[in-house]
Amino acid sequence: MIKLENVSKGYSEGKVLHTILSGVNLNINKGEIVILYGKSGSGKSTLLNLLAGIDLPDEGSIFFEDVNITALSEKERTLFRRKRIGFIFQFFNLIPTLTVSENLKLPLELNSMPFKKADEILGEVGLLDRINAYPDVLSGGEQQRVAIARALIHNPDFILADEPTGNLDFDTSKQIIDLIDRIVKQQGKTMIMATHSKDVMGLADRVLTLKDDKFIEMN
Amino acid sequence: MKIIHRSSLRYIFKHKLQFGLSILGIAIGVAIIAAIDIANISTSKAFNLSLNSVTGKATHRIISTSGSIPDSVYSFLRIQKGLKDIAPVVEDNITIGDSTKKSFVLLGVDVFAEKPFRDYTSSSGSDNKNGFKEFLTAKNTIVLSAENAKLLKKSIGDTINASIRGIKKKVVLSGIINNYGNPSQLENLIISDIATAQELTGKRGTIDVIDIIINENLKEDYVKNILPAGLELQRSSSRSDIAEQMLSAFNVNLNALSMLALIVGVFLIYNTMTFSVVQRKKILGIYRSLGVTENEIYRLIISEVLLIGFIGTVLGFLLAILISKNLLVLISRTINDLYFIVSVTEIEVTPFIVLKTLIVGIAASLLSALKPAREASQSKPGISIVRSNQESKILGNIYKLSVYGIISGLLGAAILMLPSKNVWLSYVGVLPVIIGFALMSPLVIKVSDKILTPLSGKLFGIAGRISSRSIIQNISRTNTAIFSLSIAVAATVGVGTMISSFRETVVTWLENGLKADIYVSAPSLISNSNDPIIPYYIRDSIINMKEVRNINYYSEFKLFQDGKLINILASGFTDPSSKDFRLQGNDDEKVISKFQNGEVLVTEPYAYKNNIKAGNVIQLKTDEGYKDFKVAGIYYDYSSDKGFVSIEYSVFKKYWKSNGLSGIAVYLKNDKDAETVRNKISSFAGSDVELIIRSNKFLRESSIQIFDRTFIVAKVLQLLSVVVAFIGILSSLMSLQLERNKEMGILRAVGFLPSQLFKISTLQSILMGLISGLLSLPLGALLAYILVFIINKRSFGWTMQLSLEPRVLVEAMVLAIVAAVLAGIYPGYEISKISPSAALREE
Repeated sequence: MIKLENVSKGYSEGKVLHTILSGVNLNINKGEIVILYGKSGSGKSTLLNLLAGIDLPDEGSIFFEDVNITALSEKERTLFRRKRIGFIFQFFNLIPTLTVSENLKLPLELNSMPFKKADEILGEVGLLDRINAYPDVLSGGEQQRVAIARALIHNPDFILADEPTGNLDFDTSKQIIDLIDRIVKQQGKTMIMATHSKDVMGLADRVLTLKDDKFIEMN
Repeated sequence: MKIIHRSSLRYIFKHKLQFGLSILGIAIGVAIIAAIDIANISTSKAFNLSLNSVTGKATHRIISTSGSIPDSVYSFLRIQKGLKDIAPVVEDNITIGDSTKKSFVLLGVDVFAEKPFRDYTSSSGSDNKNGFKEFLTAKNTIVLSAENAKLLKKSIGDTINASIRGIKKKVVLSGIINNYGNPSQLENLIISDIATAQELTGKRGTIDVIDIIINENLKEDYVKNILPAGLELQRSSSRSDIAEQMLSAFNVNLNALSMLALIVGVFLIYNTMTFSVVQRKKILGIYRSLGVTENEIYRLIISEVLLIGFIGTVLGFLLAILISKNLLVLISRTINDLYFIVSVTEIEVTPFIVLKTLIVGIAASLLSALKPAREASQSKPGISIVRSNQESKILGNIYKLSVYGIISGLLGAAILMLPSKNVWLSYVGVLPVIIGFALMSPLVIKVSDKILTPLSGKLFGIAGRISSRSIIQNISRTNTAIFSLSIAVAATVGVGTMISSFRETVVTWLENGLKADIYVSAPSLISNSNDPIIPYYIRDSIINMKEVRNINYYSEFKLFQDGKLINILASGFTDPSSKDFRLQGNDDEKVISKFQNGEVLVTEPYAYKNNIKAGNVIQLKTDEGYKDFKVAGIYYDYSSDKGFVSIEYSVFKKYWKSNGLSGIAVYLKNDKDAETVRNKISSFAGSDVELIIRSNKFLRESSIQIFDRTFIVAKVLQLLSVVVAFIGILSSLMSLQLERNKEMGILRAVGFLPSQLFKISTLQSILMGLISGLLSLPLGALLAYILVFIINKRSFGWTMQLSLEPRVLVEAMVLAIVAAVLAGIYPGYEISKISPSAALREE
């Protein structure tokens, strides 16, 4: 489970301090899919950055099970992220100089895992025929499917997704939502997804929105 | 191979032009350094080989302070003192040949004493074994190596024309040495019997050197004790030590200058790597979000640079081997002009050069990549990856960078002002000055933007405004390109001004010093040195000519004293008012009077290098042992960086034996015709004595010709650094073109014509060239000042007048703009071809 204790984060612009999150407390259970809903600039991405250990909170602690990632060094946080977190981005963020297959093998190599899982997961996302293609010849939907496969291939416990359908048309978005529903849910992963689209709400166990610098649950 | 490395390689191949240019930049930089090293080491090796061929197995040599040893001394040591392993040698320079001429060292040896020293005479491959017997009995016979006989197209029995000590002779080839160990060893050598050598060189009854082998049976101290006065026991290796001493300042400056292109190359790699990091910021961010650590990213970038550096260094080394042959010709010609005779035909690549080149090439590449690698490793693994705004980072820190720049410049000034004569330290001091300017260049770009953007907008409309604005908008890339070009151009200003200042000083010195109408000298293989071989009767005949008002005459003489070489210049004049010394201080009459009364004068380089001031006493080894000489004054002289001790002729003759004169300056009576006098002097000499009789103007012109020749290497190196800078700005403009694809696509989409995009790109190149030029002028002037007043002084001891010509500054501006415009043509062409749809499709 993930636990946020009194987490605050702000940024300064010159001498002015802008608070984004203030004293956030949050518990996310194992296997739960939580959606962070809100308009652009509401602090969703900031929270995802904190959860990934990319940024550190100004105050408070973040626990992944019994690991307090805010107490880890930069290197330890990176290694934690490498092993236990999978990312899905709005703009896919595949490495343009690597083929589909190599993009998938990258997390396996970083975690010293065998490569054989790459074909299997590509089959699951329906892209076995594009295994040697470079990202620039794939459609947006295909790229996002590869990105989802890459986020899951090393079997992380937690999936963080930032507007995964934000750059896709309605039909493709639906396919991606189905895919996430099928794979992520089936595998019982914990997932936190930031979005401003209501189309993905069906996936969620819980939907949270930011109000007065704090997340509250939506009905 | 790891997947991230595979990705890197593909990125490099995708941007092969940028990385290719970086490799080329480092290759040229490395090639110059390696080529200079190869040329220097080859020259030194050739010189040592020719020395070894003369020295053979002798551990020591007995020499005379006045240059010649009576035959009787050899007999005394061998017979009366019972020294066995000694051999007499006569050694001189000789030029032989008919259609093809070549200069050699003539080695006159005693075949019977030779065996322990040199084994040419017993060489198994010698043709005509009798050759060595013949040259004992037949007149003027010599032995050559097979290679030289072939070069001169001569065979055994042929008579060959020779010129030795200014006198024409004929020699007969009596033997050829085949298959002798290393043929290069005999490349500069002619062997003859000692009696023949004495005859040919006019040294009847004397020898130059007695070679000796010192070992457990024969102690050094014993030999020293039994030597008659005026003789000195010297280690055989001390000659090569002296040669090294003579060349050290020359080599240091050559090596330092050779680094210029590499310094520019470092900026080029820095630029390429910065660009590649900025362009891959997104990829690096993805890596980080996937769990690649900072150190892994750092190592990734460093491994890319190592690859580029390694390829560049290997290519550079191969290039060095190609260009070193040409450099060798230039360098050995300068050494022959200024220092000693050396003939180098083979290049020498030693493991040291290979290792040094590898280290320098790879270290320079690594150095240039440290900052980009650090920036890459600090890429934020953002979920919404934001493109790093390096521009605003630089712009925000402009004033801070400028302050650092001033501090760096002051640090350089402090190093340069340290009371040291170390030339390398001076070059170390130059580096912070250059870095200081580099740190201040963003400020210059910002100020230029304020002036150039409105101006360019007024002149060229929106295209002009875009061109100028994009320089500051892309300052992280344009800054390095502008600065690399400005360093290369500043070096052109600095080195150009140093050369012109030096030239100007030498011309003034020649004009003030060369006042006589006619100059008589003996032919010499070294342009700035003349052996004392003009017979005295020629001087006496000239004095008695009715057309002659008065004369100055001099003998040059090399004094080997305690492992050091001191150049002695014995000067005599018939009228003290025609003295040609340009003395420091204002008390000429008094100083000359002291000089005539037995005190000595020293040249400025001699005084500087030996810490001598007027009034000091120097000790010189005369034929009668050590004598003290008071220094009457110091005079300016630009003919030798080793310097001279000048002694009045009658004083010189009192302490040393002299063989003749090196030169005579003849002052004519007002109405007398120089050509007539010249012909008369030639007739005194007769057809056997070769004299060079030159007018004042001709001597001045030929001196300047030699001067210009010695700076060809510097000019070539300077030009090559401009080539590297050109590559740098080309690479930078290519990078900018890639970065601005989308912007240009938008411009095309809103109706800009391809020609207008080309105009934007070209205008930008012109403006970048202009800013580089402006930046290079103060840096160039500063470099000129440092080169003229600090580095030159510490290297050679000369005082020069700084002559910063407006022409040099205008040329620098033109060079910067032309280089930038030429470099901008291809990127401009590429920009004009941009397809708006393709550019806009990019995410």
